[in-house]
Amino acid sequence: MQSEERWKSIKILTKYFLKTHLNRIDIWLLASACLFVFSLFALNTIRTIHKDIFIISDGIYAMPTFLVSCLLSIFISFLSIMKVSKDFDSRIYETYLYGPVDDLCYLTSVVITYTLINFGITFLLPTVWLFLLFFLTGIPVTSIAIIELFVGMSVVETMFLLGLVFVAKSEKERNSVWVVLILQIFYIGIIFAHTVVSKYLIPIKRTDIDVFKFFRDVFSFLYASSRYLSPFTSMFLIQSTGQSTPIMVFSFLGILLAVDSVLFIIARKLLSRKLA
Amino acid sequence: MKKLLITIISSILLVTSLFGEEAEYDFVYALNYYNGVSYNSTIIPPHTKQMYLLADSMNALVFRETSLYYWSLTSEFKADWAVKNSVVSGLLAVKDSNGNIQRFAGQPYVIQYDMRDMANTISIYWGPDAFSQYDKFTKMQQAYNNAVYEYNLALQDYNTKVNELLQLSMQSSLSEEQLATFPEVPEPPANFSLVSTEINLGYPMQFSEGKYEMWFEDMNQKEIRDSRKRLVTFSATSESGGFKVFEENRWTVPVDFPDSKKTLFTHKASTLYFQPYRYKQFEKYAYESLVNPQQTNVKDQMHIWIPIDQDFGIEKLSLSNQEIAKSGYKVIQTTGSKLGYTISPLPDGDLDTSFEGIKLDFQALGDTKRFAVGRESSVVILNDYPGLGLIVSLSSLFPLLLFLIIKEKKKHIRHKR
Repeated sequence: MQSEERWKSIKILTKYFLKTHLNRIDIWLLASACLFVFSLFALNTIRTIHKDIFIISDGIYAMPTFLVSCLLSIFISFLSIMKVSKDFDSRIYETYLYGPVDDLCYLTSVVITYTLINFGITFLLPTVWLFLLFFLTGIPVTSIAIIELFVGMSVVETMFLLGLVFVAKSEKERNSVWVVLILQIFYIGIIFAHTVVSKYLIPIKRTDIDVFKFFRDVFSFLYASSRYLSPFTSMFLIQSTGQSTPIMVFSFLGILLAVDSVLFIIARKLLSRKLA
Repeated sequence: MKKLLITIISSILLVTSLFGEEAEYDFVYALNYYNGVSYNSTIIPPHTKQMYLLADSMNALVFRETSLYYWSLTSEFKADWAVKNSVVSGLLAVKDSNGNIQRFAGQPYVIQYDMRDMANTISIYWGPDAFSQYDKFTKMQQAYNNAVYEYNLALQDYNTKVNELLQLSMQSSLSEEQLATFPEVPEPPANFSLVSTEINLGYPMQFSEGKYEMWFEDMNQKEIRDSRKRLVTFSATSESGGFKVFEENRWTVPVDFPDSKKTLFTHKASTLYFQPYRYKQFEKYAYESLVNPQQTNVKDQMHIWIPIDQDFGIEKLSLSNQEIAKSGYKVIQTTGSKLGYTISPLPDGDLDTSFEGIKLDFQALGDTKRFAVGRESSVVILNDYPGLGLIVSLSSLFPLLLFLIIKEKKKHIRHKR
């Protein structure tokens, strides 16, 4: 197929997919929920300084960025898997393939559609929102906050592409939703469980009995191991250890980009094999 | 006869077993470590296999035989020095990552510092230096004691003379000659601020950053049980200036504000005091293990900022075209049973400061919303007005509202068609 024709098909399909999504309330509801998370943290800062007069922080928006990335990662993976499985179930896929559309066009359209949705909700809208919050509350928008939003968007992209690999691989497409959701919840759960047992459920006084020691050891082992497997853990570590330096962030983004490319190639190969 | 013999032999065996058995004690390393500010001491029990030290700083280690017991209240082993406390003689062997082994012999040492500026005066002296420094210290202490004695005598003499003059004045008015002999108040000697430990025996430990293995050998160069440890020496990951900040109503609870991409958020009505400090950043797990080798915290990648000492070089803070100078303040407790205090500038001539710092009254600083207080840190004044929470919360529903408007418009267009 000519590349010009292919691009034209991709454009038409992407436009169609995007239109379908933007006509549904779920995306907009999700966008509002994400902005609300940022607002909650901004308001919490204001309430805290009412009580404690001042607070010292190295990133008020680090935690909401992480939360939003987790939420969107789950949601966009869910959405994309459901979309592909629906296309397969309803055999609409055959209609798409009729004419100048092949499996690469279809996959690229799906990827571009969800990448654009991801870019809009994880990066663009929160960036605009943070500037609006600056005018309302006075909390400045730092370069670190923007970089962290970008990292969040890249993590969501990788997890969504991983979901596409699963859906392309599985025979019953809809079942892959569970696999991807469980995997993501497991990865995110490790971070939250580790944070809770190692930060909040620790003995306050030296004489307190440490009843959570076993859980702390288990979750810290899982947490330490998952830093090489889970982009969520890597992102959380970069944020929480204050390593959002350009070198660190660009290295992480480079790794994610390489992983994304590999995942795309795998998804494409699996999809072609499926359709052969 | 045979039975009697067996009974005698078994009795002898029993008695020798009761009296002949030696109690087994534990070997521990007793460490006098430098934490970046001062020297503290701790023990490293046999089950702690890895110990941490600050790189390129001098520490004193000694291998002791003692009786360890488990203190369940704090979940750690403690030494019962009263039962047994003997220094084990021998050599301390340290192997670096290239396999080179160095052996150290024990030496006498002493730690001394000036209480007025501990961070810059603290030192550890070894060998002959330890004796000369300790000698110097005892001589200075003796001189101070003598000066105090002299002062007390002078004060006694002063009181006697004053009393005599008072008695004379009660009988008749004092002549000018008598008034001229009125004694001068004796000057007390300057406070003695030098602190010194006793002379102890220790093994000097000062290594560059890296990983080592160490053990203790007896006089026959044989490794003593439980003495092998892994040693990690670490340095500060970064250094910066910064401030200890406290609010007017909580002057005893300052918060660390190192100059490291941190932002202090406050509101316009607040008054804060900034005390310039020097900070060092360390890997959190390594630093906590240095302070408490028996800690069971999980190793993570977090870092910790430690205030090293006051930065006396900073005398003022430049904030948006204004310069605010550091000055002394006095905390005056509220009289009566009511709790409370007031902070007031130090009166002229009064040298008794409660603290020195830079006072920032943001109300008086004008309408500026953001101040840089270092190379990387800043202070931000947040807006606060009635209904802010509601406005921010409702505004976040904007995408949903946009969707409803678009939907409504589309419906309207469809109806028109």
